[in-house]
Amino acid sequence: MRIFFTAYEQANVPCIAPVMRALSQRDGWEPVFVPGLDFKEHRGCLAHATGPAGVPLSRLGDWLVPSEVEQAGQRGRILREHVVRWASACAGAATFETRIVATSLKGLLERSYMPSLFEAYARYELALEAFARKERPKLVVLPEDTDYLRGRLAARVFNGHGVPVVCLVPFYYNVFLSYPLLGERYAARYLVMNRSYADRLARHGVASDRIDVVGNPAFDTLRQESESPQGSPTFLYAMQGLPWESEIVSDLVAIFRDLPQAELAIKPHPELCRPTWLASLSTTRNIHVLAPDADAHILLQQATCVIGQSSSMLYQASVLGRAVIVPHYDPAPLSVYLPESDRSQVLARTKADLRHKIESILAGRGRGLAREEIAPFYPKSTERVVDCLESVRAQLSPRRGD
Amino acid sequence: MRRVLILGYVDDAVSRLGDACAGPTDCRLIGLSPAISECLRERRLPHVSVLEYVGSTEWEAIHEEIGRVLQGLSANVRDVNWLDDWSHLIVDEARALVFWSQVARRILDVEHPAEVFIQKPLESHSSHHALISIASAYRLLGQQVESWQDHRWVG
Repeated sequence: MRIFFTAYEQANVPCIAPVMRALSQRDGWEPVFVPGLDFKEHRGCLAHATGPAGVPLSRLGDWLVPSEVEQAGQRGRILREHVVRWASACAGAATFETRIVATSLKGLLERSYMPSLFEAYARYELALEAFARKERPKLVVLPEDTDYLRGRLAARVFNGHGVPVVCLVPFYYNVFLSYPLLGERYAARYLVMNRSYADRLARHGVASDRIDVVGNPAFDTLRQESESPQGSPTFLYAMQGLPWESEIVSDLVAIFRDLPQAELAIKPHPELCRPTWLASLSTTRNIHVLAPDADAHILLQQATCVIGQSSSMLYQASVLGRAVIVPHYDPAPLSVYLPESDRSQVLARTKADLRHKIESILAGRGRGLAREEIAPFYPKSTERVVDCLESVRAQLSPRRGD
Repeated sequence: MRRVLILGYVDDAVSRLGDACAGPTDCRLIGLSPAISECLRERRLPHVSVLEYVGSTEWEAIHEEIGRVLQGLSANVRDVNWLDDWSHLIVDEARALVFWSQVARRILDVEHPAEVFIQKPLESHSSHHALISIASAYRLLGQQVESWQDHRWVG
């Protein structure tokens, strides 16, 4: 049976790649990768993820003829004009809450890239319609069914055509509490990383027989070296371009100036531009700024502790048994899921708190996030996902089966 | 309490508030984050942490509030599918402003200030967005605010 996998950004490919490889070695499965559309806000452009080597590819754009592309572009332009008028009308609404939301919406719609985004949205919708109608897929695996130009649109279109959808939810959608779960949940089955996200789905009305906790296949390849890191204890700060980053880095530099026996390695985000303030950072012998493309796996092996606001490296480090610190200087709620039992140990809300946590780790009292909470089934998540997909296939009606 | 001064960062001007705040004062200083509160504490400036005015400690409650607003607005949008598809992006865009607007309103409810002063946002500091969001929320509430730098003392 052909099973279509999609990813909207490269960071999500490691979650599906081992599953596609495992299925391609099984009888009766033929995995195909469909690159989804992603919008890179920091670069203001559209992008596609690249699938794993050796897996057949199906491009959604190939399902449209040029006249349909033009027709979709026109539809996107008309839609945008209507939406802009509607948002302006909403801004004069009676309630404070509505005015607040409408103000944000207006600001969003005024961005320079919005015209091209509306056209891309309309084109993508038409391409999904054509794919569902002509390919008649028996099973599609999406990363989520929540996000606007991504899984939400795809899940709605497939649902409309009776195509069964499974969501194999990658890292970010599992752990980011700031990602909303509004509206109807379209997927027939949700394969999620942890109990916390399963509970969240259940609170939003998804029946328990549609949810399987599977861990994260991307973690399966993480292997702990037999020996602990040698030399000075190294603290790795994973930059992400989030608010409070310059203040956190500045505090870390001040703290590590007083700790010559330890090293601070600052790793810029591999995709984001280097912030200008980083160049003027006054470092000492034990503080280094790494290359953005430095090998994360090697860095994790060498680190005693990973510090980050919401980086996936916090979770990877925890799986490897390293300590982690999550600076959260913001008064807003936490962006990422941290197991309740770990919070007081890993969360640092001020500079003094950060210093205390670092000194505790140097004294041998550090800890990571509980592995059984964040990575159940490690290192056999891929097998678990494949088993779940087998059970989904068994449940498909004979008309849909192969 | 007659006056409220909302502070997002600590600079020389804030440090100079020390002497003026030493005695009785009718001005409440509010530090916009635990990190700022720590800096104010180090400078022995009496203040209140913004956490005293934070209602939602989980994003879920804020998402639901925005979801309710969008549902109310959906009757007038021609393409309901569009609104449903884009709800994630709209929530993502609105949630910080909704959070800060709740904080802004709670400060008014608790303090009943006659005057509200907000520190001038500093683009290079992470409190920039919060200070702008609070000022924007007060504008929408019809509450007059004044931008504060070191040229005015509010004690």
